[in-house]
Amino acid sequence: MNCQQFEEDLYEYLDGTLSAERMDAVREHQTRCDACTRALQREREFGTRLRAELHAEVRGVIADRHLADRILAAAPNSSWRVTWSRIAARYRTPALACSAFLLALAAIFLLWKTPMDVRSTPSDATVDLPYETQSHVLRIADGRIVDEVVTDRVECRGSP
Amino acid sequence: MPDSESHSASAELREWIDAYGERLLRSAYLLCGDRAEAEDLVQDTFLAAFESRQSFRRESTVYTWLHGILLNLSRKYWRRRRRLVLDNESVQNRAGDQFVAPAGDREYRSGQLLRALQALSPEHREVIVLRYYEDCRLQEIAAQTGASLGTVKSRLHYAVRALEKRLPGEMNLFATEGTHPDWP
Repeated sequence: MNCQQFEEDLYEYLDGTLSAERMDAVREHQTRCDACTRALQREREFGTRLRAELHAEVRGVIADRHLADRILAAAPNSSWRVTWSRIAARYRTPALACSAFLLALAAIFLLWKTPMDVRSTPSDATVDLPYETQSHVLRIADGRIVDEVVTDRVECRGSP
Repeated sequence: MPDSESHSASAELREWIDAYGERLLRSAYLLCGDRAEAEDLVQDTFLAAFESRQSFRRESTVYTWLHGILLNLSRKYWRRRRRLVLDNESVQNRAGDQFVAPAGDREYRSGQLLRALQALSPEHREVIVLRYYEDCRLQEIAAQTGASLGTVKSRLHYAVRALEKRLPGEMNLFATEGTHPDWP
């Protein structure tokens, strides 16, 4: 290890976060380099003194009750947002699975509701679909619905 | 949201304030050098944390998370303040800067230390506060500032040198002997 490597490892050596091998190399370098040993000692002393100065500096800085009250008063009352974001975060996967299932169900239902007459009509035709309350007249061309006329059925009960 | 949940969120915020408020306030004071600004920074820190608490993954301690928010806010504070200084040169003549207490006095030391800290770049000030006030290891500083380990080492080295230049010798923070002749 040379002086430059020693300098690079200085802070980690003081932190005790170097590997055992690197720690030994730093210690070994100290035994043969007075300049690095003095620099290490200087950093240690500076650290101790600066820590003491900084702690003395803030000794009078006290968080009083006013600060806590001020923060609590300024905190947004966003409870409903919090609730929904929590629910969304917790149930994201089941919600996605349910959505996919419902979409598949809707697709099957639509396919099933499309009358067989339409699905099986291969060429141009006009199909009348007499539903219970409405009449649908579909015009089909090339197997596709190109026009649909819907008429309401009027139900007569008894004599006018 | 039910009242009980709202109440528990407020209770959690109060717990944070009780547990970490003073420590954060002191750190904020060292970062910005002004008591009133420090209180504003701490208030904004808690409010930002309260708003984003759902995204806190608890991979670090609550204090480390809060302090990370404080660092971000203090950077914004310094950017804003630098613009203000550029806009208004009268800041240079603030009464507080002109007052010099007798040497050796606690007030003198405090004034010199705060002035030296405020004269550092935000990055240098952060590493000094994290290392020598928060007692963070290099890896913790890297995690909090989002910088690489190499960058933190370099910043710390230059921050200490910059502080040495700005602090008067009578404060006796630096041993007169010991500078390595080959180190920058």
